[in-house]
Amino acid sequence: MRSLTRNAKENHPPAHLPVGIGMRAAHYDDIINAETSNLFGWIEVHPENYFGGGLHKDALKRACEKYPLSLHATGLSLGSDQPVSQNHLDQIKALIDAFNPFHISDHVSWSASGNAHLNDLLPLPYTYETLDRLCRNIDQTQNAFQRPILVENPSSYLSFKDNDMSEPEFLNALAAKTGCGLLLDINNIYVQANNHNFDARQYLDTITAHHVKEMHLAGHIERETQSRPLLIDTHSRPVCDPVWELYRAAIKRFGITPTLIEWDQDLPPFTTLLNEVARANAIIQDIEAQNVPA
Amino acid sequence: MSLHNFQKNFSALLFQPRDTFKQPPANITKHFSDNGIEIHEGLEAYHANVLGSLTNAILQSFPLIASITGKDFLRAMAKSFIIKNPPSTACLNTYGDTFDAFIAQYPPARSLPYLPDIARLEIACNAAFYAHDDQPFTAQDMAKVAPDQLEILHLTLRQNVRTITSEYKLWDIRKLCLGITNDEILNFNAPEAEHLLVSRPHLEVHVRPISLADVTFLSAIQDEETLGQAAAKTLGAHPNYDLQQALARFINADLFTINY
Repeated sequence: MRSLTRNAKENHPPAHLPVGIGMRAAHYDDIINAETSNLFGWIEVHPENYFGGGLHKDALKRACEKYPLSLHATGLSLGSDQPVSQNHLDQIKALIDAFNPFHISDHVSWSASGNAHLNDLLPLPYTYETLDRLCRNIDQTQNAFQRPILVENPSSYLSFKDNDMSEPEFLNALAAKTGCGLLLDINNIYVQANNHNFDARQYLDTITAHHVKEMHLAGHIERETQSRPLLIDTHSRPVCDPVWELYRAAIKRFGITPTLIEWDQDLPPFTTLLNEVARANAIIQDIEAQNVPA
Repeated sequence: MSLHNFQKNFSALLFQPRDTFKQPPANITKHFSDNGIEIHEGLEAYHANVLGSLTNAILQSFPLIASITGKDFLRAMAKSFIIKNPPSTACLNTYGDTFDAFIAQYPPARSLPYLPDIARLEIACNAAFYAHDDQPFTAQDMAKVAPDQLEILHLTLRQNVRTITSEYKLWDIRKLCLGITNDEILNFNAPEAEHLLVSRPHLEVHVRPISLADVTFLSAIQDEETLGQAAAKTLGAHPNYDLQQALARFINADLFTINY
């Protein structure tokens, strides 16, 4: 199929607008019709929402005439102990061929067991067995798409006993073995550091820098438990201050990286998302200014 | 550990009732350490996420049922459905396409016997909304068909087209739910079977009443019969059917496509 939109070079976020916005149905009009194209550089969608035709596909076509696209999958279930669904791969490949996204990503998690799909990002132990299975599924996916994908670090709410390595070590190994890139979700690192008692800055320091190709910023909620709050990655709130500080540290360490403002539940007015974009841009410009030789 | 067995046990547990999580089974707890947050609390977070997102998917697909039963009733019915019918694909666009059969067997809904048919209507609307965009066969296309080829013309229904037959007044019930009528409808039973056409000519889903003869004709087209065969079958059952008029009406409504 002929690509509907831009050539590969134009399809990347422009250098001066590295921050993008997750496009959700409630904001179609704001993204497609409003004069906002000088405020953010790209859009992201979940391909699973565009497998059919009709209104959503039409909106995606029109949005892609204005913005570069990143496809962020939630349904490949790369961490399942079974091969990736060929049908799911085929449907995403059709979107890749039609819309020429600059990135395609999914998560270091699983959501399917046998024929049951749980529509959630479920936790994985960081063992050699999991590493082997994920590598096979990432290989299968990259072969189907004929290009590398990115994998995202998850949020999780249970701590496994028998890990063979830490989460950042596991991510480094995945990237080194499969050639995939890393999508660092800064909020997820913060959530994990809280839920599993580790140091978020040390996590950033452990990640091999050249694997990092995209970052995500989102909000979480606190769920009360008997001992201390469990942080739940809900994409339903503004990015919190400690996550902005962690983002600053991440940009310092990894350089300017396409960054997504993610908001999936309790969607706010579009201007709220634009404010989050502006805040991310301010951090990037701040660090750029520090790097300019006096 | 076996990743396979862990995932099998974990996914089975997430479809259990919430009370199960207070005392999670050993085949789950053995994998986790309690680092300040108890294991059952982490499990409950996943349970809430999974059930919550799937329940929302059902709520979005069945707005008419929500307006009839109220959201709380639909939410409870959806949870019972989800536990017995987890999604079989990661794409949830048409999740709930067996909800009508479930409702028919759901005891608390027994006093609303038309509810499964309303579900069938919403399933058809949902399928139409997400159907792939196939090319309509237009009046211009029809004008290009040589007269002697009309008999053997092989049209098919577009992927967004469905017909629904019910012994209830679905058309009126739907209008009531959507607040587009003030008519007082006391009897939901239709005097004779009612037929509705669901289609999506462009981006919006349309629903409208049609006749039994229309259903006969469209079903024959759906069964991949030629235009001549479909006409003969329809006129055999409904001799007074105005076939020319119906064909023009359906073509103008963008119901057909053609596989060359």
